[in-house]
Amino acid sequence: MSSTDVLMKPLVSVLQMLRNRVISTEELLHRTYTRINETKSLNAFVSVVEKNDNLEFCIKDDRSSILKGIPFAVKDNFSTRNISTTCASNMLRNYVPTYSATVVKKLTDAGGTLMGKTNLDEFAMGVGTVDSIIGPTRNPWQYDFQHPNPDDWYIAGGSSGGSAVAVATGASYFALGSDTGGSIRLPASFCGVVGLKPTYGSLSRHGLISLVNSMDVPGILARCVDDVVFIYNILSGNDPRDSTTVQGKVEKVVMEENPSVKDLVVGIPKQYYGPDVSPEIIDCWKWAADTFSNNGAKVVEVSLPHTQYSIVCYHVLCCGEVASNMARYDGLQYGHRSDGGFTEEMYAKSRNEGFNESVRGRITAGNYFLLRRNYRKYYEKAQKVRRLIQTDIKKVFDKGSGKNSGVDVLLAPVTVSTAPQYKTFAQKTNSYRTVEHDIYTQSANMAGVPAISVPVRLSQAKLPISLQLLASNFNEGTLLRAAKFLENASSFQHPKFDF
Amino acid sequence: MLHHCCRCNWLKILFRSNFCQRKLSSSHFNCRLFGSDLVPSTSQWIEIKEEDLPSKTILSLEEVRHVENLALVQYEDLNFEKTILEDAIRFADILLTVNTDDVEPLYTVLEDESLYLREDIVTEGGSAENILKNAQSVMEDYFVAPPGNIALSDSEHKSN
Repeated sequence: MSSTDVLMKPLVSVLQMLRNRVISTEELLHRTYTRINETKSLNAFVSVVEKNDNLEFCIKDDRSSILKGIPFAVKDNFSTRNISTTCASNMLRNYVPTYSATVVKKLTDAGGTLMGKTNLDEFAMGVGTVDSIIGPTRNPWQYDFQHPNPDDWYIAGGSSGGSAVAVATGASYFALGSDTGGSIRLPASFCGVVGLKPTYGSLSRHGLISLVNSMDVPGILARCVDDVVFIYNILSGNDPRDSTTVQGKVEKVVMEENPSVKDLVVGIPKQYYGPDVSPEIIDCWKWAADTFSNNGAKVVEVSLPHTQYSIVCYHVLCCGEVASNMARYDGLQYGHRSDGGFTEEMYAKSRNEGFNESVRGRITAGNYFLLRRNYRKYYEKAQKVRRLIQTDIKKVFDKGSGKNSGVDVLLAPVTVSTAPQYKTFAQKTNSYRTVEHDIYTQSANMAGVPAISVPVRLSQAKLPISLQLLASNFNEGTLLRAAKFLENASSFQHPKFDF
Repeated sequence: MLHHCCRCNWLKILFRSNFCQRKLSSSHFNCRLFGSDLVPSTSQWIEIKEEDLPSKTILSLEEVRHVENLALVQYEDLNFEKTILEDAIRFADILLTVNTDDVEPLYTVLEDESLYLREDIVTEGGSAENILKNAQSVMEDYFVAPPGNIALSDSEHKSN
């Protein structure tokens, strides 16, 4: 089998091969390093762990571990002990954490091999993985590997674009990302991989460098639902280091090979058909709705009346929390430090040099909304609208509340289009594109509910089209089974992106 | 409209609306709504016009500077920053059209959960070296900072 074949296999298959000594962990790591090198023009990795360091570590070839040395990648906003963590920002260009995020530690404790840190939009603010100090990440789909044209490529989506590309190309079996407004689901949809945003409170945020504390969740990108389930079961659960993780509500997910959707109630949230959704995506949405109903699911129309205000609400709350979270970056204890005659001057200079324009823009807007005279008018107002959005979603999932309720999962688009070309995307600002592409993803973050992006087919231009499923809090089992059904029913295939 | 499957006799079929009739070829006695029928055919959003919003907030350069000083970040061009901020405010104004009477603010989606306290036992410590490791200016066990007590707004040392 070719070098890349084994790298594209599902986790269960590779683990079997490792167990049966068909391949060794060392060989797997060698091939992964080769693959990372082959695909480096896509710029998915901010940093790669030294090959010798990893090989030295894996020589004992621990067959008893769950992950048996399987290579994985982590978005560069998760702290990794002794490994540079930059958040793709000048502010943290030289920052090396002295501890690892809980979710990273769980994976390495389970025997996984951390290969490297993946690219993102600076501080996870963005939808393209284009605003990074190492430059943009390129989508492998429709990318001319033989004769790459610097002006002709598609964006990977963001902000977890590096992770999505690493998984799509076989440079990683799975990768960690973070999702605050859609930052896992969007790049997953553009790159044709599965992206799970778990329920808020089900995975630990300890060590995930904060963007919006009330919405951030770590999540998983992989090439199939089974792999996502496998990793979710390792990562989920209470963490004493993160007081916003719940106790007792998170269950391990058990997955069948062919989950049935008989009597599953699938809601079609009508307001997820907003302005500018591409006809190809609508068509795909209809196909999926038919597929569910043809297989015994009860498909119903539901209404989430405050949907169109969700992105505005997200804008205000995100800026507000960002203003607060970014206040810690003053150059004193860590991060970029500039000269200054007095503290405020030093802080201001360090921050102006350390943060890009998008980050500064959100901090400024956030500080405006948090001014005493504006707090009630904007920030508290947004918190009230957030409750309306959450209530809309809670209601449809509520069993026994009559009309417009009783739904098990919601089926909707992920975003308005397939991956845009970079040259088009770059014509508008970061905030414009955020409003454009996070339009259907951030509601799940506002309500805290789990959501997943599943690739379903290719567009006319041969780019992946994905669909989104949402479920109620802590019902990842229901969500993932519906996702697996959709995956089984779809015609989507992962290409090998060979030269 | 909300049921996915309805059994109709052939008389009722004659009086059903279009979307059911086109399925007639599959069965005369079954009139089934397909999932795709429930996906809307057009945008469901309400159009929000400029006149629905309150009057646009125009900031003075002083106000922009004030926010800059609180945020301790700035753009190179103050006028450009003013435009960016005014646009951000204008977008947020859409929220003001939503009725939130008698609605409580939502601070956290975990408001129905309890936060658990752990036992008050020391489980780690002695990390001074780690804590100081990433600082650029350190002296013994101290972070070194230039003098405070001077507000950026009061000084002439603005980073431009």
